[in-house]
Amino acid sequence: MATFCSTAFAPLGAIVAEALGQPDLPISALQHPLAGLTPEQIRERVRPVVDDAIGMLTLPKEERIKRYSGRRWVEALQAVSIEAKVGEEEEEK
Amino acid sequence: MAEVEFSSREWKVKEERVYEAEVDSEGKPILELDPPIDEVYKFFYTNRRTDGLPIIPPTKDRVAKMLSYIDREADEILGYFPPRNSIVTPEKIAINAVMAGAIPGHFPVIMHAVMGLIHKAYGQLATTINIEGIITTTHPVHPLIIVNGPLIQELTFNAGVNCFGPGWRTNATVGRAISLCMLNLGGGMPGIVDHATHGSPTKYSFVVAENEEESPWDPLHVRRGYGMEDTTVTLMGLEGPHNVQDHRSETGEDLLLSYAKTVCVAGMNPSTLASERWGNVLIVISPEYAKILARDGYDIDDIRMFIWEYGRQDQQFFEQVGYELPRGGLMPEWPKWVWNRFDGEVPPTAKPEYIEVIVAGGPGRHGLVMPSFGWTHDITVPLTLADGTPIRSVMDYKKARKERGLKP
Repeated sequence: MATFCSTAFAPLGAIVAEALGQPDLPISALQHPLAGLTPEQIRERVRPVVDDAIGMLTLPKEERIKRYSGRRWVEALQAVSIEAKVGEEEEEK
Repeated sequence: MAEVEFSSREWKVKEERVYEAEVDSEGKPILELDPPIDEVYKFFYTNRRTDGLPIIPPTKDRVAKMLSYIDREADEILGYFPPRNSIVTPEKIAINAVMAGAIPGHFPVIMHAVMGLIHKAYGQLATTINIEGIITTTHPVHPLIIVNGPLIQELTFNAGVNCFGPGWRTNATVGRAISLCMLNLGGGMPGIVDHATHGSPTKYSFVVAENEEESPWDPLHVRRGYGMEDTTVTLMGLEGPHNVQDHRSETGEDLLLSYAKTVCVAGMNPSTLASERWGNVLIVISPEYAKILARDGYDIDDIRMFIWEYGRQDQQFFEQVGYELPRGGLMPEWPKWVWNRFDGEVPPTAKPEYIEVIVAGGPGRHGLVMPSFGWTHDITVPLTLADGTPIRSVMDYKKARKERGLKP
């Protein structure tokens, strides 16, 4: 199966897939936003992910999951720090 | 973690997680029993379990006290919270209620509000209020909880001055508990699942009680078939409040014109994207306005019909900004009723009954208009015991708990 989201919504796609029992659903992402594009601009937007589509449909399961599992979108976002970069230590002093 | 390519995203992927909970030999997170409160806050925050504000640590004792105000087992399955589809139990809700700073007596209101959020009619794919859409949309929507009935007094909900603002623990923490449930049970992590373009301050807490004492009309829950002695929570997926300032009008008609001209503006979902099936608007009438309207003979249905009739926009304007379904425009969901029935004018909602009205607020000549997300039905949930018996006081839960042989 090959699934596509726009980049902004790929993590949500992965969360919903997991909630529906498909935690390793392969997801490829087209650059957000898509709204307001002409058909030609849409074609341009799709070109970079054509290889992903081929990979998602042809690679062995293990490799497919490693490369395309939607979880990677969520994990990457969760790894981004949400803490203040400075200030806490100053307060303690 | 594995290196991931994100050519099209703004953020940089780090090679290691910046934060990591301490783990035991089996890799399970460790949380000390009584660590400093700022450490607990940091732990929950960095694990994305808070709204960013400090929390009360949800210790077993505190959660047990919360559960002592409900006549159900802690692990009873109440439903599933989309989009993450977490199992919802009283205990899980209670953990979030403690974190939010609620007191145990608040818990029945919080639990019933959450039950309303996840209510799904038989055979329906989506929840009634469409909480999966509310959590994930780019729209700045959040469920408003409107409380009616005797528990307003018993739990000191604010229905008067500054009722949508800060300063009242009950409104603030009940609303926050519900927001935390949306985060921790629904999975609504900002930027990952919650994709609101701007979000809204209402996402921290959005609870109000109807000012039943100063209303000349039947309160909302009575109009929906419940008794004055019943307590209900009504959930509506709304934008934040928009002011309707009118210090000059002397008649009910002039006042309603002010509301009508505020209610149907460009960019509102109920008028532009909703369908005949759903898409509501909430009108909040202040006590001073309510007196004038009642004096001039307006009841709730009159108010709805007036706003629906006079709160219209010229269809040409909408066509100018791209709503051109008959000729193939950008928004294929443009509702057919707009084109078929209203002779070039777009009403604020598909039907007058989709305009809901409550009285709330303190002294002053201001009203509020709150358009909904559009794709949402409101829902009213009565506070009852587990067997369906309506309650008159939160102490009814204590009695029922004893009768059922549950731990006090």
